[in-house]
Amino acid sequence: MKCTRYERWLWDELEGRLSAVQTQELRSHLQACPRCQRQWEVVQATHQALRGLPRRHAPERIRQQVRAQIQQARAPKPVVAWWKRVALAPALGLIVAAAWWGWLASQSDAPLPPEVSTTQQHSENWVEIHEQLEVADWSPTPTPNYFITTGYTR
Amino acid sequence: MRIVLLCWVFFWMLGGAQERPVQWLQRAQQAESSLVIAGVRITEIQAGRSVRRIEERFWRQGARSERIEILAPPERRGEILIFREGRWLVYRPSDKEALELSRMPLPGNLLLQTAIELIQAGIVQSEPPVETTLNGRTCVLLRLSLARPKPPRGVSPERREPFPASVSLWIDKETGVILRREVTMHPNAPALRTEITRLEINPRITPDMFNLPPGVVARPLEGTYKTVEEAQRVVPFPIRTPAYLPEKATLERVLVRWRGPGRAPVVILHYQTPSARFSLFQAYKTRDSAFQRPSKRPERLNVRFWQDDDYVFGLVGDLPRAEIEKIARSLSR
Repeated sequence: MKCTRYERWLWDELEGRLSAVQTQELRSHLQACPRCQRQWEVVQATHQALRGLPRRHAPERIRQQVRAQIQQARAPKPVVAWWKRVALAPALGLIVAAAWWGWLASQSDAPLPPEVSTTQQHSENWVEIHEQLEVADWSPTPTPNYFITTGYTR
Repeated sequence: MRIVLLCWVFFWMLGGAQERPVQWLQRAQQAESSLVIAGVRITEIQAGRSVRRIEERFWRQGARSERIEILAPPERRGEILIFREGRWLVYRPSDKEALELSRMPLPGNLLLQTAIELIQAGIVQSEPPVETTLNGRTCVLLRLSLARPKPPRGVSPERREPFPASVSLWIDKETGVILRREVTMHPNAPALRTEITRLEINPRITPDMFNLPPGVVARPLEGTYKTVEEAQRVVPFPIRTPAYLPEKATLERVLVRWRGPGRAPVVILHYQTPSARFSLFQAYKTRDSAFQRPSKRPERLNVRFWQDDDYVFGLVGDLPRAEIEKIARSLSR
């Protein structure tokens, strides 16, 4: 069940993108799962083989041939019917407007949603839940995790 | 010759008494992985201004299997948690179905391994071990905290784990079992404390203690999910996700908390970055209309609550204020 998740982590581990906790979890799983261990060996071998490949530059003649073929492959512009050209303008306008909207939303000086305070009990509960989630991972038993999930601490 | 021998014994004992913190942690890790123990332990979770208390009886075969029976609180008494073959299952003896916890807590031995690695990398430091007694047993107290002011050369600041403000461990000198552990997210305020109040070494254990009773079928426990897509299947409104996330932020889990009949649930997306944790709350068409500022919150946390269309959002975490606002902005439509 968990193997798919760990398989996704193998390349991340090679590239140093996993946290120490994730690395530990992965190593522990690899020790227990021969299938993933084999997969890990394959990934390592592939990575090593790829890194070991010599870097070669293509001869100038081949580069020119490739450039020429790319030029040829560019299809001639089709003749667009007049009604399609008319329809194109608003469509392009919509795309530009959507892009502008998206850009605006992503800008740091976009308006910040006005802050409200929820009911006192509500907001304090949310802060409490966050605090419990913070510590649950450091609990040596699963009970806090389970109780937080099922609302004991509500 | 006798003098030389006595000197050697003296220095050997002196060395034994002054084992380094990492060696104590390794002993604890070994005990966690291999000892067969049973007993009673109490966990206290700080929840705002109140403390929630969980009392449980446990039987553990190293890191292989474990059984927990809840003794308190009274309304949860009788619930049983079983760990076997990498799965945590929970059931009540009267029920014909067990629930599988979808999010596996990190086993105790891996938590200790993480602590050892963080110490060796210079990210976490330990105060010198102090000998003390707890419930009549001699133990060593280790207090681990983030090394300050900055990690050593070669360790990137981004690689810092979101380690709590401090973790204190009371390690039994005789067995290596951790008798008490305190986790504080804020100096001098334990957020989680687990203490073994009764300990039995090599108790009588039967294999069926770690099996589900015959006829009991397991199904996933609802309420906690790994992805938004999984949670969306049970949530009656579109779950919103932020378009902006801090660098290297990962979604750790999604919680769905039902608030009673006829009311939409609160969805909680809990994220982690290499140096912080934050939770995004969202409630839909909430009837809570009397808005007030939260009267009290921990200073280390930044908090923001806002309303957008039919949603009420809350962001809570130890991220910088600017990051919290950037995430909030990215959620608005």
